[in-house]
Amino acid sequence: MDGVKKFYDAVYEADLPVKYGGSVESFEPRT
Amino acid sequence: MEKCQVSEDASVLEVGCGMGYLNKCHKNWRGVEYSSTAVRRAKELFGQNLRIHQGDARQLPVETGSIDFLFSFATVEHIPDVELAFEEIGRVLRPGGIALIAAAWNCRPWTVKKLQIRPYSDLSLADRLKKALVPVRNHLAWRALFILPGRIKRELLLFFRRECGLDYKKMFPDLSLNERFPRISDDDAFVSIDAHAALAYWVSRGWKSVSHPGFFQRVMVRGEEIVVLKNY
Repeated sequence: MDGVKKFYDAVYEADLPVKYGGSVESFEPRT
Repeated sequence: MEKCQVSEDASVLEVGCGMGYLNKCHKNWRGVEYSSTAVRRAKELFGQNLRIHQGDARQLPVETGSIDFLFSFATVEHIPDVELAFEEIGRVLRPGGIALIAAAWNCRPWTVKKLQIRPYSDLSLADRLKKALVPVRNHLAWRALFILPGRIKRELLLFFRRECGLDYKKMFPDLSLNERFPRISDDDAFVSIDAHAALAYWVSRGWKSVSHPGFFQRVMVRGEEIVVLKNY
């Protein structure tokens, strides 16, 4: 799980959630 | 909040809250986020007093039976051993509490390998075949063919009042692919879980499905959020 945590830390450090619109806005419901 | 009739004095927990963008949705909002970087940045954004905690959804840093309303957006599909997170939701909610789970249900297995965007030349023979079949496997009729039998099986278990385990498929995202290819939605999902499996898990434990109260609604659930109430 350390690798997973590092990955998400890097995602947030790099502002990726903001670019992708954040955890809620980037949510695309499956149909 | 209004739809779920969350009272003003309710204790509210968001699981997988990211940078806490939804912290203003309720005055008693609390958030748990796995990434310590996100927690730090959330506090930089919204102030050090923000009630956000670094923690694992499979071991929530929250007292048993202390939460009135728990919600989670686009999180459960990213949790390996997700059944542990479901157990934790059951533990922290008080009887009569409500959980709203909005997830990317039924994440596609090819997404974690980014087959949609990788060129054929980058793929093994097996993955080339999988990439070629993506349009077929993504077709609603094809997916229904594989999803419906599981739903019927779980409905039978519910009918005979048997407990349903949490059905899901493990996925193995290759996080290193992000160095070579753009990110796509849910390429980092660790589980593919059907919304019906989540509903059946709770209903078989005596919870009430608020969002999908009957057989027909449950069997036809698609990508929408699910809302369940923990019985007294």
